[in-house]
Amino acid sequence: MELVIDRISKQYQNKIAVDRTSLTLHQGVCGLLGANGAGKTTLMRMLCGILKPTGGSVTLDGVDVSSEQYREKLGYLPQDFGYYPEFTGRDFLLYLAALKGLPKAAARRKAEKLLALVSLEHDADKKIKTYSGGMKQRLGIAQALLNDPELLVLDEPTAGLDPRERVRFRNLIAELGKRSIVLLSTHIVSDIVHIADTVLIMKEGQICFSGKWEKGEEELEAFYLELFGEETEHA
Amino acid sequence: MTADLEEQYYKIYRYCYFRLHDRQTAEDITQEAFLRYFEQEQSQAVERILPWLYTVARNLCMDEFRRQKLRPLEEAKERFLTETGVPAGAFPPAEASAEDFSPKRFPPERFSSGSAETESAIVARLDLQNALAKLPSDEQELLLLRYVNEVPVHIICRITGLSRFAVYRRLRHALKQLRLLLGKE
Amino acid sequence: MKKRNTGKKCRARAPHPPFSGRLAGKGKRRAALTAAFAGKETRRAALTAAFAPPPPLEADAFLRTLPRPEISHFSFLLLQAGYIRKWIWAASAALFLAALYLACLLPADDVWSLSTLLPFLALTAVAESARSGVYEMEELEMVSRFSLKNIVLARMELLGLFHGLAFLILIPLAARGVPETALHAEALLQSAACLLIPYLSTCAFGLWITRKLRGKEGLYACLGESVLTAAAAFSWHTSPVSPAYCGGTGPLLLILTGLTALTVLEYRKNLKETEELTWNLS
Repeated sequence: MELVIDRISKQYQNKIAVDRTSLTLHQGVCGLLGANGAGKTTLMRMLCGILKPTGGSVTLDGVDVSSEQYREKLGYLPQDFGYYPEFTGRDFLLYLAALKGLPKAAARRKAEKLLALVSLEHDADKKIKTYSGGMKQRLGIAQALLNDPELLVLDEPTAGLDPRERVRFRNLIAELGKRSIVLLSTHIVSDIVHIADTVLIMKEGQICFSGKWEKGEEELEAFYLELFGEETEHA
Repeated sequence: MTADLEEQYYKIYRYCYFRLHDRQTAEDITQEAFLRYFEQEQSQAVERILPWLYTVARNLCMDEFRRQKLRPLEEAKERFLTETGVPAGAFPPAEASAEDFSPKRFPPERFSSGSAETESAIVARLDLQNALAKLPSDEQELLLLRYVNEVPVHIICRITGLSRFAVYRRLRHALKQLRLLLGKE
Repeated sequence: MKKRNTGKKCRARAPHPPFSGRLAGKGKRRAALTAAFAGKETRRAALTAAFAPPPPLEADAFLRTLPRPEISHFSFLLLQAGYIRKWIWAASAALFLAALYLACLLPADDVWSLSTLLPFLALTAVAESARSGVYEMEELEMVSRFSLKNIVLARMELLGLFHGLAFLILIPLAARGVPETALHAEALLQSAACLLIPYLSTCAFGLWITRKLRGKEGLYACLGESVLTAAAAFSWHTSPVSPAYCGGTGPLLLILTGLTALTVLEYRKNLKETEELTWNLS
């Protein structure tokens, strides 16, 4: 399992959102840290094929990001997502499972398993509009896992989760990191320190740090401040 | 119709385990059967994949059986009972009832027998397993294929080489024997 | 047979007699098992329990390595058909039936009036094609195996087929509303123009609107646009100045071709947008 990002960039008319970034990721959890507007979401969207890079390429085990084969192995949780208003939690999962090509019986089984995993089994038949922010986020995490992805891209996944949910989520991610490549972006330093094997720090469209972080939370925070000279959020 | 590969994996695995009573080998053979199928065919239609998988699995099991020395029956039974999670020293059973066999308790896809079973269910299952063990193995195979894996009869005919008539006849005989054995217990 | 483990406590029961080689309650167990074999489902459950192996440990990892199942285009269409909102189908059907009624039962002079219904038929198609955008499901759908583009294509194919059939039925029927002409073909053309011009212009304009205006506002704008087109069709036919059916074959063909091309163009532009997130630049 290898995700190769080769000199990828995204340029808009008046701004360079991602500037010739190269990276290779293997199985495990990689945390992407950076302020808002640093280019994290743009980079992740390019890794999901939602944005087309203005330069460079992305391949997963040799498969290009624009192909159906790549999407078959991809699970994605966007920062914000909507839902069709008539959907219950279960409907939502079954719909997306069908779009991911799961046969009906497998879709039902997977949906049940994932609903239990994110503790939504009792709320699965309620309409999503009745869900709290944390519940909706958990549903989002569940849908990302439907096709048992090799590459999991999570954009600010812990936003909206209460501390207890956040701990459960961290354990879940650690488990997933044993079988897949997990890239998660956040601006919460403690998330990174607790679960990421590799840390990436992004600033103004470029990766300015990439590697393992063996020290503690305060050290990472201090390092981050040094790089940015700004306040970060503590969680 | 596309085959539900996950479900087929479990069913083939269950079948291989029945023949070999060894989890690792059963999984190896299941995977081998799938790999061989996909090397040849990209099609995913149930009608094509199913008889092929069973036939290949069956042949591989027979090869494996011949390759290993035939284990003494007792040792096999002991391993079977251990591997299926029977707790050593079962409590004296409470009343067993038909409830213990209600379909809700044993949904078809579940495999781990052990944690959620009541004592009575465990013992009832053991009784049934003992009774089953007394049947000839080809009848056991038919029971597994027909009632547990729910393989359509015409596919069973292709796998076993028996005629429809023979399959039904042996199934009836097997069920009759089971009822007798359970009654005599 | 199993020996009783005397080291373990019985749960609040009287102590049992020494193990005799038989387990207690055999008669009841016997009866239970025989009862279990009476019914198909219980028999199946009992046998499943008896044949249950230990859980397989490598299933997930292995299955991941297998090629994912292929789904035919037809199955995908069928799947999407189930997800097109019921009221869209209902509205399309209702509009079609109403148009049918008008085409068959009204006096020939009034048959043109069914052209006022057709902008709303076009609205159902536009609304469905824009649905993913309105409810912000686009990112998730884009990332799925079949991707947003295929979903929108499927929806349009389905509704397009339905509407296409509707027109195939309505156009010949509405031709009787055309004043006497020499050629049957010309009458058909007039009828087609009367029906398709409002429909296609609503489509083309509606697709343009949903591209420029995202979310629910876009849909309301489309609704407004449909009402305007219907009103325009109405006033065209009732105005004493303009003829009920305009001009010769030439201009009509030109207009129809032009509108069809425009609709196709707008549709393709919308499809292009589904390939990439173009509106959210944050």
